[in-house]
Amino acid sequence: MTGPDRLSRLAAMLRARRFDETLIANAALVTGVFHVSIGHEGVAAALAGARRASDLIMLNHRNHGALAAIGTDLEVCYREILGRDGGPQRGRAGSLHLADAARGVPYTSAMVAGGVALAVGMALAKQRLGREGIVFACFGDGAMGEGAMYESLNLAALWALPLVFVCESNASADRDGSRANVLQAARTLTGLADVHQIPATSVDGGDPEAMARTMDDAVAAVRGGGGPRFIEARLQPWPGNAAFLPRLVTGELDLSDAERPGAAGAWSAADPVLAEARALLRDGVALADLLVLDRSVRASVERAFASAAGAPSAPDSVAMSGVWAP
Amino acid sequence: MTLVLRYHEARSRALFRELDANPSLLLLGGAVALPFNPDDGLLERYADRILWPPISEFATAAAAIGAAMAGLRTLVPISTSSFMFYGWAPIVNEAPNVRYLSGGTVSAPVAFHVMAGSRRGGAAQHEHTPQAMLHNVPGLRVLAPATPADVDAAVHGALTGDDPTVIVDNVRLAEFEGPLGSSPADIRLPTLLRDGSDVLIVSYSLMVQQALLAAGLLANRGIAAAVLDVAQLAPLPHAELLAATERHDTVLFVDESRAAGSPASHMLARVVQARPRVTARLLCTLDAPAPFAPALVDAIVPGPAQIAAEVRALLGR
Repeated sequence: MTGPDRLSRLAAMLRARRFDETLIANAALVTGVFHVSIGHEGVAAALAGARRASDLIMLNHRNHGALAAIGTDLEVCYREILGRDGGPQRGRAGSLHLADAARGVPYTSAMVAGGVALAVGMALAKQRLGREGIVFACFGDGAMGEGAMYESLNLAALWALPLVFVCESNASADRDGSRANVLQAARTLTGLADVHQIPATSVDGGDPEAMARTMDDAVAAVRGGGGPRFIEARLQPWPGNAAFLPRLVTGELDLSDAERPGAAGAWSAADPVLAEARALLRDGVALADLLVLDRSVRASVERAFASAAGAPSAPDSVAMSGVWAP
Repeated sequence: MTLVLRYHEARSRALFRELDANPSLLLLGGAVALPFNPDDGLLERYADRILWPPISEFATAAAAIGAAMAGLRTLVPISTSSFMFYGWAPIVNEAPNVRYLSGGTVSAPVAFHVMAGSRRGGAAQHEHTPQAMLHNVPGLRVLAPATPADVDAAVHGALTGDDPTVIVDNVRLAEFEGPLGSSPADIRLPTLLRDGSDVLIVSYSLMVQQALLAAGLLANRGIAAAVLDVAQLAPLPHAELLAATERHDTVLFVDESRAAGSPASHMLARVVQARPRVTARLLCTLDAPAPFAPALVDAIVPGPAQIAAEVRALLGR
């Protein structure tokens, strides 16, 4: 990938990261639950790089990063997360169900593996109607515990659907390596795709370049009519994730850490945004240029938040609208 | 000339008509009638319009919903209604939320067909009445036809409407005959199938046919019973229900579901709230799983004799 392309990839990743950091810093204003995509930015950027306008994307409860990377209006996202009026969802959806129909995300299911099975149907529609585009189903390793996942793999393979299964695996690894993770009896997650005759690749999701190449290869195969593909993106679990509200235990990202090897501990070594910044520095881009980019992204994210936080709630009548067809 | 058909004939005719009208309409499975009712040729005539999934109710139901969001309308014949419990999560927790969560920008016009209620011999795991659960889900349209005209309207409504819809069918309706109009009726409107001044029996699906038989028994005793058929359980047409019941001061609501949370109990509550002086009674299947032996089924599921007895008790005659 060329320098300018990598810079735009870093911009997408920074947009995702600064969006979540700003949200966590203002968590007191959020009246419900939210999940952040910190550590998942490499997958989000790969998705944004591979998608076309005619594609459909099924995200999940951890959807902020992918939406930020594909260019969704961040103020609309913040308004929805804060329960304010302004976007099409008008406070009925919240963080869990953020969507962007104009960018191929018509609906977001927050049920683990639930969205994967919906994505199978979206791919079936593409196939039966002869429509352009493919479908991405993004899910966590937790979905591999649900029966719905295996029904979905089976249907997608039986019907040779144009579907990319993107597993964002942020589980704690099994200690002795005999299992994929502590909640999975199978040795590898890709093995579970293999038994359904779905070609599968495991990749270090913390390496944005490798992630993008793996995604591009899988997408090319699916676009070529080769049926479904499965990607396991191995991610370091970000330590700030929690059952209810995330906490910024690693502090805010400092891009200058990209020039200080080993300066900020284990997370810093695994952080995909820093990995991308380091790659750019190796390519000869100056840190000062990265910092300029970061400041610009950050300013726009903070403006989006400030504007959203000043927005009003939707009128009560919105609670009863959109239940039935007009 | 009015066309008179058996219920199963009207169902097949309606399905063929909708398949012909919408060339992209796809069936995920073909067990609309089979294995309980005559097939009427669906499988041969529309073989290329039926995609047979494996026994995977979750993914099949979800795929139908996802396909609907992406522009492909499907009908999912689930056959025995309890099989739907494996696909419950997408049916009650994805499809009905699509319009709401997307702020009206996306819809999931998908149809599911199930055979519910007592078919005899199915026993506890194959004779459920899921309509009592389904009608409590905002955004999920629930249709429970009772007559050939109803099923004609229900199939049309489910396959042309914009809301996710479940047709709650009943195996034992197959042979009942009835007239059909030249075009499908409006499934939303309650239908007065028999008039009578002493009492009104309000019901849906098979219990409407049982109520009509009960009305015949009551007529022999000089009691004039009217029968109102409410085929759309959700969203319940409140205003139309109130208008259709306002002439009667004594109303019996009959439901094959167990009483708690049943569609008939909801109708009763709506009518009594609007007209506190009405004398209303609820007759439902008793609170036990479906038994196997026919005599035991009759002991808990209302039939014409029980409905007639309940009316006489209500009138004190």
